[in-house]
Amino acid sequence: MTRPALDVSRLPPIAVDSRGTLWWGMVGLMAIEGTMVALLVATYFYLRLQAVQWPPPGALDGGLLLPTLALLVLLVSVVPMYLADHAVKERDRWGVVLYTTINVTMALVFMGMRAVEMRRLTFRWDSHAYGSIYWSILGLHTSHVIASTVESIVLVALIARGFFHDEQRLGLRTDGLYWYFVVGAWVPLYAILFLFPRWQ
Amino acid sequence: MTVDEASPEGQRERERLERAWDTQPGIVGWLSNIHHKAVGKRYIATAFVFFALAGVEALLMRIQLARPGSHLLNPDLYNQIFTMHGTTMMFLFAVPVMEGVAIYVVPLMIGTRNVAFPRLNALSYYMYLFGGVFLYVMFFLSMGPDAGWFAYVPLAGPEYAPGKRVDVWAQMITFTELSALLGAVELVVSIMKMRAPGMSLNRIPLFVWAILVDSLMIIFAMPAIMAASSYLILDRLIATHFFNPAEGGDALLWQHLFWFFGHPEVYIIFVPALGMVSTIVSTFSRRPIFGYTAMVLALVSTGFIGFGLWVHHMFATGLPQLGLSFFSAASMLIAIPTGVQIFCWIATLWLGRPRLELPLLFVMGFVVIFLIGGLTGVMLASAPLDQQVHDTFFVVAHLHYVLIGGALFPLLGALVYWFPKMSGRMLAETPGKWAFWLLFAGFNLTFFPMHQLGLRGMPRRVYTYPAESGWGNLNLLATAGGVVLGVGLLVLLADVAWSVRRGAVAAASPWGGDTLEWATTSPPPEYNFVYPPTVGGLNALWVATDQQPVVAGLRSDRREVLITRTVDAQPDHRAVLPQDSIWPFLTAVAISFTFVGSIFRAWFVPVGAVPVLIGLVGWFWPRGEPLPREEAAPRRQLALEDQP
Repeated sequence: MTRPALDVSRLPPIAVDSRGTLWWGMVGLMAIEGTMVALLVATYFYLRLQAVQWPPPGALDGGLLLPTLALLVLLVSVVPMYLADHAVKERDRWGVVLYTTINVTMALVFMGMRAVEMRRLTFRWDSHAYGSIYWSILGLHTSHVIASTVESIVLVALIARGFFHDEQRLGLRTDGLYWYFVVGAWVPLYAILFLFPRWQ
Repeated sequence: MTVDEASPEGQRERERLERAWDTQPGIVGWLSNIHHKAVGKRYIATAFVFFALAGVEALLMRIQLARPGSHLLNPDLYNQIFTMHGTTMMFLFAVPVMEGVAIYVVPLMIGTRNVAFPRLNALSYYMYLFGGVFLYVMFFLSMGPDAGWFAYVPLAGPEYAPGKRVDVWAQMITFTELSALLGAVELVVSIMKMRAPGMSLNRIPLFVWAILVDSLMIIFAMPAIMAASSYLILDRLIATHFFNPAEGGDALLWQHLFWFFGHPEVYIIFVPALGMVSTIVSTFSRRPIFGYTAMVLALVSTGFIGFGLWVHHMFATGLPQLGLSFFSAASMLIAIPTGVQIFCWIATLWLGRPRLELPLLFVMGFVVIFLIGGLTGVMLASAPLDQQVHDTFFVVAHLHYVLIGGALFPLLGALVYWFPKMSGRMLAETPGKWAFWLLFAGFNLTFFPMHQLGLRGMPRRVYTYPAESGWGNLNLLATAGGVVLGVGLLVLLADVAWSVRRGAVAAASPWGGDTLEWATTSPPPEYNFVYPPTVGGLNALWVATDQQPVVAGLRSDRREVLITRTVDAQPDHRAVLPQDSIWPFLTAVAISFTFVGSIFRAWFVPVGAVPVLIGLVGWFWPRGEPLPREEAAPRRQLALEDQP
């Protein structure tokens, strides 16, 4: 049976932007992770409601300076990620490699600061419920930073080797999207962990 | 431009597609298969194996309870068995089987060739399989969980449940929820971006709508159980204090998190069933569904209201009056969208010319059973009555009426309905009808007496009861019913086993359905359609004429699909789907190694991360060659190619 055909052969073979399925998949992942973050926040305040004293004495001895500087590093790291994303659109391979490397470096600096921050804490996850939720929030966010950074390292290594096809370009753009999410999620979490107990 | 499947060019196209979508032979090829139909069938088959195991556990419990003072099972084994029964049915059967059907049917129904992320789909299946196998291996090693399927703390906490049993439960949750979340993202993206040209939002089949709502519910509900089970396992393994009141934790936190997942979970199981019922009712009434827009809105509002009910599982925990009233009202409110759908189905049947074939028979069984479950649900929504029958067999009766009536009967109807599509043969009808009546009678015989038992005060989860209680005869009746139910399932299984080999060969569209899966052969080829269809109206195949166009121009030398726009489903671009790969399987092995090891030693987490990373890098390793050094950016030329 002969049927009229809708010829799609002239459509682009991939969309390196928000129309691509990979981009949508990343949005789905972010929805899941975002729900997870919201649940941690809810847990924090639920435990706060039950608590006689919040935070427990001595829990704020770690200080505010280092975490605030770390937050700034994280916020500034969005700039090279944005530039890398822009370079992807321009098909500027070495721009992508340069800016992603700067971003990865900043992420590593952040992780170093995070490690020092963790060592300075005067309580552990098994000290009290405050410690449990505190370390959980810190741990969940750190693992996201690590996962996103490893993804960036693998992608930038591939792109530097010359794998700069549309698949990798879309991959880097969604990786950037995820990085924005990881940074964006830290802003309320930082406020809850560091500002709320001081000015509640 | 015109095309013709029967022409020589059509034949060549078919051969090219066969090559591009072919799977490899052998065990490695089997493990590398990422086709949605293979994965979907594996999901369904695996789910039914777990269903059978949970059914055996149920029968053991019924035999134990048949007479007072029975000592067939000891209390410890009984605790493990009712926990395994509930856990298996909820996490290893109900959710995965619905996702499995969706993974098989949805790509066909939206007229595409595979799901959006086929490798992720395979990973999701293997995580589910490994999680289930892990649970049962531990059960047979006498390390089966024994704190009930909702593992309330402090009973499930480190103090009252030492040993590994509850760790096994909590980690099984991690496996299955990861699997369900991956499947959900997969389905959402496929439905949003891969629908046939012309299948705008107002033309999406109701089953696909149901799966979309369902997947979104999974995305927002399942993280709660992930969080809860993570807190539980942290409390148990590294001595955190989330649920320990002595150190500032709170046991009710578990209940809030669990039921914030657990109530939507009921709808996660029920919403796909609603889609199945609508599909079957419309096909066998031989007319479009009455009130399509109202049906879609009912599905969507069920998805929303489902999140506002969780506290009704906690009426007995001493909540503030206002909270009680709010959740009581929400629990009654959810009856409205369900009522809307039931009236629309009745109207469809009324206005159509119904043929009472086997799938519709199962739907009728669903209506009767679910109605009773819904009525006891409205009763339980009232907090005072709930206080009275809390934790009794009345609740057991209610939840089985809702879940078996609301999910199992539509599911069986749907599997009969899609059996010809999946197997290429018709299911023999007479034994199928026998099976239906045995199931229907056996079900009511088992669970109806439980209402009465509950009203007379029999608590759930007791391994035996004294003869003076007077509960013996009703329990015996329930056990007899359980045996009839089991026989009904065996008859159905025998029917399936026989029909798969000897059943009458099925035509492309044996029931005359209106959705796109009936536009291809039974069973469909690996690539689903030689020329993917387009859609010209709500009931795609009923409104299609000979002049309804098909999609041509997708490359057939590689796995190409058409991506369309979200709202109006107009063609947007093409996308290449990945080749078969062993990496999802290997990654699943690495993740399972980490998950299982971590309940024994914490260092499995950092150590296990290495093979997981290797697995993922292998998975995403690019195809093709790197670009030559100097022409990394042939800007103008490529940019021109990108224009449509």
